[in-house]
Amino acid sequence: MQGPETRTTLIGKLNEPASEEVWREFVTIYQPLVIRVSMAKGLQHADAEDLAQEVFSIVKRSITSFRSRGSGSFRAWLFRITRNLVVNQLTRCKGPVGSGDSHVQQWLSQQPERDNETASLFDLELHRQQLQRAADEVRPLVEPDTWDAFWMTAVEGKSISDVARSLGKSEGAVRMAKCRVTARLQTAALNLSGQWETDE
Amino acid sequence: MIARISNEEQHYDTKTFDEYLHDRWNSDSQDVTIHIENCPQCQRRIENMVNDNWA
Ligand SMILES: [Zn+2]
Repeated sequence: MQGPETRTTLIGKLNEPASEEVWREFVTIYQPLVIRVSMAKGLQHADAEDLAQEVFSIVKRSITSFRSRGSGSFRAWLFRITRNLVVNQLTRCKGPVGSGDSHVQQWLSQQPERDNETASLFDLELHRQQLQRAADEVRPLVEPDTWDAFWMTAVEGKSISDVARSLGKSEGAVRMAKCRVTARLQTAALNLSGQWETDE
Repeated sequence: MIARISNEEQHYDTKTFDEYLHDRWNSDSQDVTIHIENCPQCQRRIENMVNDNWA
């Protein structure tokens, strides 16, 4: 992950005139993140969507004061806004247990209760969101077989030998296909997070 | 498996591995690819390279 400091050029552009495109890009990246975190904390999907709208309107109103404060990361700031709104919402509705994404629910159930539980989830979701977008960029650039070898081993957790057998490739070729796609994902994710997360 | 390595000592360096990983070739790619996919030693080094990048 990137370091905590986030005075980026794109964040700087969020409240400039004619920044609609940057704003749309921002919402594309962060909306799924806010929704998933909210649902994992117990909100229903429709409520989580409303909450995301609320988060973004606060961000839009307050981006200038955030920038002039000069300390703290954008990610941490966004997380605090989200957490506060989720807590408000849950207090209002006496905390219905949301259906949520089953993987997130499962992951959550494996974690011990900690104060920073939601912060970790937020970081995990941000990381996952960046990887998802990186995957969308990388997938069209590699051979289908190479992508499949990566997917079956790295994501589905199948063994190298099983995947080699089912794709009719050598184990070395499968092992290296996994490395090649992973390396490209790393580069793409780094570029993406660099747009929103690096120092100015 | 066909091992087209005349000299067992002749492996590749990290620059070539990087070309291989990202398909950015300055050299003849086919020989390198065949070597790497049949050489456990180069494969281990490449896996370490990729894993280190997550850190
Ligand atoms: Zn070698």
